Amino acid sequence: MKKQVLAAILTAALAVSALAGCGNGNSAQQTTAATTAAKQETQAATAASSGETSQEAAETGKEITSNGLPVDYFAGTTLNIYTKPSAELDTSANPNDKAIYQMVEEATGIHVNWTLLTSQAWSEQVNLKLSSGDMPDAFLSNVGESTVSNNMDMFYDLSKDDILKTYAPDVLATIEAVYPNGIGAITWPDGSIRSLPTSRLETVYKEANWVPMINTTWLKRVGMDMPTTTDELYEVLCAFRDQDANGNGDPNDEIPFGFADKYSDCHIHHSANFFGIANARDGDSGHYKMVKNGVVTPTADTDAWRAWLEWLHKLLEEGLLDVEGFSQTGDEWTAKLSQDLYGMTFMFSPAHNGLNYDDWDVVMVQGLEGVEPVIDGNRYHDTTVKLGLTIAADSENVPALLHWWNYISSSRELKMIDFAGEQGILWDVYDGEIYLSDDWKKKPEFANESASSLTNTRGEGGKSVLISVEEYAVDPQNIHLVDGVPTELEFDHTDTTQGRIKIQEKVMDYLQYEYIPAKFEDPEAVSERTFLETDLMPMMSNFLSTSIMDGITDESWNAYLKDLETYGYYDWIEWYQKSLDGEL
Amino acid sequence: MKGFVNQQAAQKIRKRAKTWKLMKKNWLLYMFLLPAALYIAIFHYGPMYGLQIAFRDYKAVNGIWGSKWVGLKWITTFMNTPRFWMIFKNTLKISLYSLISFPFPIILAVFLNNVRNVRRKKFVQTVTYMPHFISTVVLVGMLSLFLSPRNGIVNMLVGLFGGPTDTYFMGQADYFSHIYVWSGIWQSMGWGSIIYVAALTGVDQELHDAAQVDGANKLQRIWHIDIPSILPTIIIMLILRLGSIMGVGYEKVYLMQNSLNLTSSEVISTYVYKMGLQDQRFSYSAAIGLFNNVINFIVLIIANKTADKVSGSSLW
Amino acid sequence: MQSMIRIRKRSANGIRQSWDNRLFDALANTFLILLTIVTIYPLWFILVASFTDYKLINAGSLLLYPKGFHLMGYQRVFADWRVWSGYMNTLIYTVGGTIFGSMVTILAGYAFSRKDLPGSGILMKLFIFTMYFGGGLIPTYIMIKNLGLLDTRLLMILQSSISVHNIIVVRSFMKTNIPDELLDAATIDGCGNGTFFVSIVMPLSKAIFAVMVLYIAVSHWNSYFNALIYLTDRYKYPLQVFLREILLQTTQNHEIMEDAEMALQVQQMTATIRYSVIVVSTAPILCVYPFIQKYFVKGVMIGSVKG
Repeated sequence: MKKQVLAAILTAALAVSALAGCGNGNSAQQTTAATTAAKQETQAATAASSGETSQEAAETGKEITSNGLPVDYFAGTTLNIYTKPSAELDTSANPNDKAIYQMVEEATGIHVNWTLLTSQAWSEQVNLKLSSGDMPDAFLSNVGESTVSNNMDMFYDLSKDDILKTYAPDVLATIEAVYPNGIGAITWPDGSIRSLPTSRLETVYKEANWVPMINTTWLKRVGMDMPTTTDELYEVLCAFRDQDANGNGDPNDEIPFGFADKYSDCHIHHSANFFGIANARDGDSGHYKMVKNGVVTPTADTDAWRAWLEWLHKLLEEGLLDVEGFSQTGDEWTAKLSQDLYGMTFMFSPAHNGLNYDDWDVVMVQGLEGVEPVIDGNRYHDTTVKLGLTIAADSENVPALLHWWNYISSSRELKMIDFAGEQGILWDVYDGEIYLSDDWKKKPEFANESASSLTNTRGEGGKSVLISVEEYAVDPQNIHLVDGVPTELEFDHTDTTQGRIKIQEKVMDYLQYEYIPAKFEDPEAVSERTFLETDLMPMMSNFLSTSIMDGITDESWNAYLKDLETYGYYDWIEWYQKSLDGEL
Repeated sequence: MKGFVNQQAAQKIRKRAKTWKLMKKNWLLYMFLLPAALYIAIFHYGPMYGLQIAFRDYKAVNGIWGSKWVGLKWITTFMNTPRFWMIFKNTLKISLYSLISFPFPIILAVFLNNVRNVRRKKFVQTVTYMPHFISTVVLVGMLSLFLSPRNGIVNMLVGLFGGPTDTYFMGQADYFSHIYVWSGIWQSMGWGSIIYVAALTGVDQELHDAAQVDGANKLQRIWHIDIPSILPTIIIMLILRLGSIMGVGYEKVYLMQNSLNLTSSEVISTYVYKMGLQDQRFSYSAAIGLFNNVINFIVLIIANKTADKVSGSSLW
Repeated sequence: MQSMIRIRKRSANGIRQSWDNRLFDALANTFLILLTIVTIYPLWFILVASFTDYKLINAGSLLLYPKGFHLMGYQRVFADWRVWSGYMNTLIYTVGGTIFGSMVTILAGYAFSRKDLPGSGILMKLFIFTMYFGGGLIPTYIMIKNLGLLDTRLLMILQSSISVHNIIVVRSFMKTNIPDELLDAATIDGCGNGTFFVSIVMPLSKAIFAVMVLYIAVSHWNSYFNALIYLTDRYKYPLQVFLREILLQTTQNHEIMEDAEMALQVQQMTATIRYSVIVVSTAPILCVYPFIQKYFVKGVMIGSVKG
């Protein structure tokens, strides 16, 4: 303890002398060197006396955190952390302006030196830092699975020496609570742990991102009922085409069925759902396989697949499908949607596109006799970032870093501040419980200036500490889920989140139970798979689109089946089977 | 025999002395070269050892020198991918097709040179040069709008002349290279003409006057005076152009790509980009880049030799 | 002599041109007019679109004037401190880099154009080699780090100011436009290399000098990649980095958006400002061109020097 005080005084003295001597070009350099020396001494001191400190701290009345250390045990330490600003939303220059980091620094005395790498070149920059040996203490934000797997030893192994249990018990507890397989979720095949997860686990209400929706006002105008089969849907779309369904006086401007392959997830793939084919959530390629009774089954070579493509071709021939869907961008799709030109499309929610929930409804139709429609998505929606915080193997500040991270994880309030900004803006405490604030509903329009100040206080996805569904109860989507939380929200037809809840309720039953859980796999094996994919995926998506455009003949179908084999489709399926069985 | 050798040696010595004299006399010119040479040495030759990444399995942990040597593994892997020939052919096709853009800036410059009204000339020059500043995203966005099969302006114009009004230009593999090349010409013609406009300022006005006296018309004067005067510039630009034959940039192609035109729009650069996106394959993309550049370099050497023989202008 | 003056006068007035010249003029004018139309509409479109609600832009139909006039795009762009700080930095890098780059390029280009410079051939080949082969990002980064140039403004000015391509262009210009006889004559007059360069070469090379200034200035103005890689201090970022950051292409960066909701918001914002960003970022550099054009006037009189 004495030594610590001495070091502190020494540092202060040096700082003063540096100030006094300013103007002298050399002084700054000298001071930093001296400070580093002092800091090292401090650390040595803390290490030596770690046994007694908690006791001592208790005596001096200092707050003891869950790891048994006084909250300011590592005071004076400076952490170097690289992070990326959330490019579009976060205009602030310095994370230290954020409420959470100010609070943590005040409490722990640990200062963080942030370096903001650009989000556009994040992965290049991270790799350059790794290559040039210019490593910070940690990277906060996903560095990418391949970066970690290719350079495993550059990252600190947190499975060693019970270091998590010792310094970050709260972090560990949250991980155990959030993931069904606990710490296994972030463990590599070799047993090591190279990262701590960030962000939150969403509820199932956020699942099924883009669902098929039909314009119910159009339905009424053409005097038809909600279709239940693809044939009925075809009839409805024909009516949309032939009549003035949008009621603007022009019977020719309607586009019955719209999509945008190049936009987010507004992909034509979703219509395979009608034919019993669905994606259990991992991008476009998810449609090419399904898990049935524990077996990874190919879908792209089935009769259902062919029937689906032939149905789409029929729609296209009849002028029911927006042919531009293959090439158009989100702008063009949004423009058509907001000008009431689409009768059916895939949406995240009508409200998100400035539309009214009253005009749109989920449409699920059956395409094949005896085959129930399904919907994309599974019942467990993992939006946590498992590689959120990675620590450099040669960092000298691992305990301090874990202590710092653990402090943010130590209470629900702190987690909330980290995730959603200061109390009273997005969330507040009512009757001792955390709820969403009244201001939430007044959430300003995005383009509005105040939105940027709002996002400044928010620890945007991927950078906040891990928070569980139950803890993050302020999200109205979660209110449904958590017991004891009132659901007296008045339904607002233009509210983005509430619209989603309605949609999710309708599609819940179509969600799949079986899926391949994402986990860290052996780097070599992952590399093998991605190599396959660079050729396989373009081939398959090209066949899909050309089939919709030009139709399928037995000849083209057989050639495609042959291509599937040569391009390694079945190896790809097998890869996932092994992954599912944990045999990779 | 001995005399001959002596003579040769003497010649050599004389030559060396002459060289030395020249070097001494032109020492200032070496000073002129120094900054550029230093720059090239530091920023280009300094990191040159990194070329070997293409032959290694680079991992940051091991560093460049410590990563495993794999020889030509990446090149063979690339050549064995099922789509290699398609990608190679597409790249070559688009590159060769793009060559037709070469004369356009020259034609524009020559025509501009004939405009007497200074204001009009400056106006046209400024307008044609502006598209150079349009970012690729916006360019592709405009293409998509103007070429829309629904109400795009191009389809409307085609309709005016009695053609079909619903051609889906962006969605057909056959149209891809045309759209790519012609939008490129549109975007870079004015910018490319600048160098020729500058070169034309060096044309001796007296020659024109004399030719006019001799009764030569404008076209003849362009052909016999303007073009020959800027021919060295044209040839150098052509050599440089040929030397980037495999360089189809990724951004525009990538943005114009969709699942329908993939068979003609997948080129080497987009392939490398996608490879890199999925995985940090430094070595693999370095190897493909090298493969590209070796082809470019060979083409450059051939083009330069040919130009040297035919016209006397060359890069070295 | 008399007749020559007469002819010149006539052609300048455009009267009494022969039919073939008139045909040529007609063709050339048609070409230029068509080209102007084809170019000006899309440019006009961008300007109009920057004032228009993006939902109206993308509905297709001809856009001739702003519909639903609004300034939202511009408001968003200018409300951002990054744009102002970016402008500042871009200006510094462009001016600094252009002065440095065009000097070095002209000097080197001239030296290479001289036939009486032993060793210049080999040096040229070494230069050209680097157009095709390089060590790649990692070694370059390490080199720059060792030079202590990481995260400095100096690097932004130095890097990519000099391109072999430009040196070659200058060299070829000088070769054709500075005749050997000039040098011989000057040498006989006892004129050294320095004097010759300053009093003869420089005045004769105004046009190529202008071209270099333009090339280098524009490439600096548009460059962003070096800044992305070698800068970490956000206060040093040039405009283009921020604009790209604001304009981040949602189509290309799927996986960055962890959240579908956020992706939607970003997409909408991007669409709003896409066109205004172009106007904001190119307007200043467009102003450079008229100044440059001055030097493209015909008749930089080689003849007069000769005479």
